Amino acid sequence: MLQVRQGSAAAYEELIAKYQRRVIAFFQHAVSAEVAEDLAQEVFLRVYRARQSYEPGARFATWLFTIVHNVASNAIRRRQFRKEVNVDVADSGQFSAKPLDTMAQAASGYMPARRADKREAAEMVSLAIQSLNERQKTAILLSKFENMSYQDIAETMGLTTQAVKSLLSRARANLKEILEPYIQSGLPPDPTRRSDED
Amino acid sequence: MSNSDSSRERQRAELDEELVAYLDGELSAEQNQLVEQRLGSDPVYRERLRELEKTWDLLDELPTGEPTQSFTQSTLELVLNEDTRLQLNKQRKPWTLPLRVLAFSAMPLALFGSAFAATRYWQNQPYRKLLQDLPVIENVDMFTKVEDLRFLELLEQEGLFGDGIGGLGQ
Repeated sequence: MLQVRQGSAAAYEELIAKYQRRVIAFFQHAVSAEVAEDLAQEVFLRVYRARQSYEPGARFATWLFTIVHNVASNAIRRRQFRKEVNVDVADSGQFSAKPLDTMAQAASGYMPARRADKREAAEMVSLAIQSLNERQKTAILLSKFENMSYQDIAETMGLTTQAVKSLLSRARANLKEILEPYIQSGLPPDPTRRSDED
Repeated sequence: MSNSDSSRERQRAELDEELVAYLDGELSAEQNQLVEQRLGSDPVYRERLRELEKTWDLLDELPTGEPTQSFTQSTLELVLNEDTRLQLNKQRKPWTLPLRVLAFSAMPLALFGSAFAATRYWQNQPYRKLLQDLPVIENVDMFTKVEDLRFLELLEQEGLFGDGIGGLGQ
């Protein structure tokens, strides 16, 4: 990143190559697969624009994922706004999750009569993740896929370490509840089992 | 929700928080030891840990972000375009920034100057009228001896007063 800061194009290209999968994966799970690449490009553009403000010594992944988190939050708000404009739905709050009926329908369409294969398992888990609220989803993704400590997640999301501890605990308990039918008997995940508490 | 329900909920939340922090390696050595002791003796506690762990492991099934082949290239082009646009803007108007800085710095000075001028004008308002009437005031004795104002105006039009007395009829 220090070389990028000094204007090295090769270093910037290397940086994109190193982090693109992680950033795209984050957006796939936190927002949607359709817009993941566009959002990832926005992130790398922001990284380039803000390269001078990067403090040497700061952990790059934490800095990068602070930008990722901001871009994801904006995208979710935009989607939420469009949804509210287009469809007259009951108020579900700024950080609410995907509508439950949509999830159940999507899930039932993919469920085989017997054991789900690996791809279907991925689909089930993805649906379960999508049903979490934005903060829980972000905390889970940063913890699981970025192996971030509570301290780093707190820094990325602008929370206290204790808040992250509680957030992750509730997120994981929610995931467990939502995926319970699938784990127990191969049934689609049940988002109604989650707690909306943040 | 009754008090006992909410108390149970709270206990469950605290237990989950402890177990999740244990799984995430966020507990101190001392806290770790306590959790492990309880895991050895409490089957319900152990079962909860297993459930949370199992769900967590399921997340490994999620697909990893696979970028399209052109992703790096198109991102670089995006950045290059922006860089070129910025460079062009700089070349076209190299004076824009210094001028803006100058204008911005001069703004308080201009404001102060305007305020000062306005205050001075307002403060001198009574004296301005006096100054205007000074020639009349200086010759007030002479004017009191003249009964007809029209006659005086005629004399002034003829230029008989010279420069010293003016302002009649103004």
